[in-house]
Amino acid sequence: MLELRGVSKTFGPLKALDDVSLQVSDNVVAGLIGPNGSGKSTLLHTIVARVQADSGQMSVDGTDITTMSVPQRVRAGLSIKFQLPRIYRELTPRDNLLLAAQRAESLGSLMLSRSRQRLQLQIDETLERFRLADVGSRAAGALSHGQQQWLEIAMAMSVSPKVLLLDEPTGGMSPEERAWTGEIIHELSSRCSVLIVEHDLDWIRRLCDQITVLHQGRVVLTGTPAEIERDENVKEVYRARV
Amino acid sequence: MLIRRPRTTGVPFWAFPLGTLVVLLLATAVGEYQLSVLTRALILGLLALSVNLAWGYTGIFTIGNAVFFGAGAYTVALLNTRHGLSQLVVLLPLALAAGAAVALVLGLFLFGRRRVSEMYVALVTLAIGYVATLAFNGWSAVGAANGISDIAYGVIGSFQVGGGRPIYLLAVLVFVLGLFITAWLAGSQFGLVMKAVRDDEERAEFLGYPRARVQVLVFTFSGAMAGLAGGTFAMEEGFAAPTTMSVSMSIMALLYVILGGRGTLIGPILGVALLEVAGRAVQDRFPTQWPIIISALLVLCVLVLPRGLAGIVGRLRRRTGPRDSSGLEVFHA
Repeated sequence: MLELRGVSKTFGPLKALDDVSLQVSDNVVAGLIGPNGSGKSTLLHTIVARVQADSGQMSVDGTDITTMSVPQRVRAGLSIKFQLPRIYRELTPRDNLLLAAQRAESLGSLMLSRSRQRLQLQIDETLERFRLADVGSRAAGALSHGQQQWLEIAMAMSVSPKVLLLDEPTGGMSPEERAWTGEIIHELSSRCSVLIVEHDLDWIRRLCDQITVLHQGRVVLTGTPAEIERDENVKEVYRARV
Repeated sequence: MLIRRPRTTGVPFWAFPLGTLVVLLLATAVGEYQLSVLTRALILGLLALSVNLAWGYTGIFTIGNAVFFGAGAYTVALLNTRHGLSQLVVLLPLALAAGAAVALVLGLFLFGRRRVSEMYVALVTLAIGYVATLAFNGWSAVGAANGISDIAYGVIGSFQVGGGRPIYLLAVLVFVLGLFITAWLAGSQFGLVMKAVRDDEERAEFLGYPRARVQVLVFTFSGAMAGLAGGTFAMEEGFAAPTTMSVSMSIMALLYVILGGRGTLIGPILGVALLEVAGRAVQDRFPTQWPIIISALLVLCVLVLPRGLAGIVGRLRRRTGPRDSSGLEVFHA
């Protein structure tokens, strides 16, 4: 479970996050929506320590992560897929997944390649599950945009997270790819909590159990998709878009 | 955007024993002068491998590996001339340890606290090389600018590893050891982490890897290899001087890697072969014009072959059939 209490972040005169509190329970798919510049990506980056919060507290499964470094937060159970795919383009998808899957091993064990064979089966299954089996041995940079997005989601899942953060996971995808990505995220939520930043409101409404609306760095409302749809304040934020 | 194919380590497993055999057979086929050129090339090749491990595989742009080389050379020189130590099984591990120790301290300073840019690493290592050379130039206890000479040949047991073939074989041994360690690390699962840190160190952290520990570790390995090369160099040349740790020595090692192709096993070997062996032939034939010829060749290579000579080997290999792996097949076929 991910819990944020009173998280704030200021960039000069701009209050990017203002007393944000949020809770994502186990096996819940939560959406984070809001107009451009509302602080969605800043919030994700604050959760993973890419941006340091000025105040507030954050915890994963009850463990306080507020002062932890990036690798410590990953070890505590956080994993992120960035807005633009950040895969290792010169490595193969297979090696990208191995990198993610082997991260719990000690450096000494990695030098002796102790877990390479053991992880192959898991990697084969992941490639198959994410429709990447046919391209598993190509350079990852040569994959289509959608495939790169899937590869990064697969990498983020391969570190066995407790909380999966997805920053616009369907950006640049076709409607068919979007629908399939929704299915796979729904499936992944049986293993962890998922927090998604996304602009496609129809897609997120269909997928999420809970949605939080951010506006000018503040939480407008957290509720079910139906509650969000009915709320006048949210309508005001989005006007006719919801 | 240009999508490049996965990098390969460039050579299949069978090339290692075959290459070692060829290099060993050369000892019986060439004259004394050529043998001394080859010995020097192998030792500098090990220095190039140390730069390649740090820069080519892990993205640590070091222009200071000659400092570790010099640490190894001075360790051997001091122990040999001041304490009469000549057992190579003691001297060379100590040279290796000296290079590793200096690299460890510098690595902790460079990478211990936060992510730093390649340019920062380049400038700091460059400055360290410059300061070390200046310091040793003025330090009378280590012979100042003259360095330490009259290093006696080392021994293994009661066998003296003297000039000519014995020191050549020693150079082959340490070079093959360095090559084996590089191939092992690059081909291991740890090698993937090295490449991840090289290509996007922040992403590596987001996968949970301790970026600083990886960089310090690889930098220490690199220093150890350079220290071993320096110790062997002191034995072969019979002296250790501030020039062994100079900036120009570091840049030379960098040039071997740039010319040969960084991040490949074969690259530093090709770079050293061209500059030290073929370059020496050019030097003999054109005694006054050779610096211009070599410099022009280097500029041409950088412009035309951004991936070095190994890039040509890679292209030729791809023409004979598609190869899609990331090169981890070395030792792990």
